[in-house]
Amino acid sequence: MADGMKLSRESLQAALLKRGAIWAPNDAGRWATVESLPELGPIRPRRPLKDLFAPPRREIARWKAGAGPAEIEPALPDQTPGSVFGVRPCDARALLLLDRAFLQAPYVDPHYKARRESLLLVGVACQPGPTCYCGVFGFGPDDKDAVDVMLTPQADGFVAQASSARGKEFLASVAGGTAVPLAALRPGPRPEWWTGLPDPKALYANFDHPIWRELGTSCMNCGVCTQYCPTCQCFTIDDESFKGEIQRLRIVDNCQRSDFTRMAGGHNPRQVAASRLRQRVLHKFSYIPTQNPGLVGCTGCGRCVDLCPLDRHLFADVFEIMKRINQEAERVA
Amino acid sequence: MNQSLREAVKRLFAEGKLKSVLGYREHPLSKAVVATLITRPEDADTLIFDQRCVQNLARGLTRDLPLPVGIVVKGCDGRAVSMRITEGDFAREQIVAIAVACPGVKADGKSWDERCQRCEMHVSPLADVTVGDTSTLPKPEKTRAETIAKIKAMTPAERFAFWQKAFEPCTHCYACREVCPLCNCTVCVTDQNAPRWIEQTAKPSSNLMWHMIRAFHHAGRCVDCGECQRACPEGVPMHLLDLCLAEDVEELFDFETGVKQGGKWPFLLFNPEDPDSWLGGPHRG
Repeated sequence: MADGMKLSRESLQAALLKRGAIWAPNDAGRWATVESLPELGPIRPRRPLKDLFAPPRREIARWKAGAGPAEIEPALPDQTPGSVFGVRPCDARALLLLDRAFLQAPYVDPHYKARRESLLLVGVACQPGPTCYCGVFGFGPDDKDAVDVMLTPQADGFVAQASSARGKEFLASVAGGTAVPLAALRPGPRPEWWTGLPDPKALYANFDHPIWRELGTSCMNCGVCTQYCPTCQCFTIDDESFKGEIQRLRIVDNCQRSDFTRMAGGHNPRQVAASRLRQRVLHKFSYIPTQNPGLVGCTGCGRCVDLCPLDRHLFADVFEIMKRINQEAERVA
Repeated sequence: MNQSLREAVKRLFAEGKLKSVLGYREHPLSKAVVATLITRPEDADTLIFDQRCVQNLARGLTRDLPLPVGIVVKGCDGRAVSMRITEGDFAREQIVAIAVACPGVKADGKSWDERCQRCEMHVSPLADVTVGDTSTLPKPEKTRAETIAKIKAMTPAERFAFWQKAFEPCTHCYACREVCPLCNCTVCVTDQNAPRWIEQTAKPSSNLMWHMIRAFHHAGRCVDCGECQRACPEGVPMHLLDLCLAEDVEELFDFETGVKQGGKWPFLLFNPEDPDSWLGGPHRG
């Protein structure tokens, strides 16, 4: 087993500052630059990590309003080197999904790419909370697969382990580390009643099942779940003007809102609440796994469970859907 | 309570008074209270009502439900349903209000919600059947005026600064709109893009624009269920603004939302003799 490296908080902080700006969750649970390494809460911060890579609002270009051809100034990708401290495995794994959307040729998002290349991901193992479900997806609170360096907090510093070439390079730059053995990986939590991920094809085959309609009545489509989901990535483009200057913006969009699919002319293929709820579940648990074997559109962070004003539970819903579908399949057979 | 609620629902099904019921159930797996729609009398046994039934289900009333639809309502929820009928969203006979005697709810599981502490209407004024003991319901511990006293005491400049700061965390996710039982415009003003009335990203001007329009559209319509604020993932205290307007409407128009059926309501009233100017136009004098 690869050895870990015992680091003091001070030497880690010094090495990170040398690399550039440090991003970390602030007291309000938002990602912000910090002067020193903050004390982290036990679990993931309130806002998902995607805020740093595919933020809710990003300028694409700007120009002056007026007669004559506009001189368009494209916004430049931010390539400032730095690091993100306090990344949790659920948020880091979500970036692997965003990579599929924003880094695959021919449609590469230069802003996303620049951030991915310039920011070192420094993970910190968590103490799972009551709505943490990473175990559903086969990893745990100290999973290092999607970060560059994984830290396990100790009373007097961290035990660090590199999991990428640049992570290894970074750890070599930290002064005063001592080699220590690594503890075994911890399993991730999952609901005690959970029996396994649904079959993506079976879910899609039941596109017209009445269960969607039934569950739809317990959802008001407020869309809070998508706003805080670390893997939700849909966006729209809009212009805003201020004092004669126009900005073209990439803005977060939300499949739970009725205007998400409303066409010019007024037709809306997802008119009713249930169809939008179905879209969210199918996208995460059927379309993504079908198109990208090995990936699921959810990493079990549980923010949607915490924040839903209707107290719905994504995993309980998925479980209920599968139970109904399976029961009926058995009855037919 | 649960037993008499279930019996009442079964009786309504048996009498042919309704085809579906919107109510609360405890999810068998998550143990959380969620909204449910039942269409068969035997499913009435899943219905519950207790202090965890925080949500206002009036938003869930849609015309595509099997009508007439029954709805389990607390006092505030019933006022919202009543207002929707008054405004013509539903005909009175399409709705069966199943009023529960509600001592209040506890969103945090520990203490009564703030709105419940000042609730004067523990039983819905719109009620086709009433379930539970209505004789032992608590008296209000405080008043709406006390809740908004802090705002009313501010100078206009202080108030402006207070709201600017309060709206700062808003991300324009519009969850407040989606859960509000009375946000029922066919196309919300913020979803219109020709012209674009409200910019879609968070900044002081668009935050103010959204929350002002939202509040004005609720003047004399808000039933104090507090769903907007409860749904807000960023904790914006927008319900406080609704309360300030509710206080003014009650005082100026002598109107209490959703208490009486029918008639005109302040949002629709137009008086050519109105002493105030209209949207900054010349004063009538």
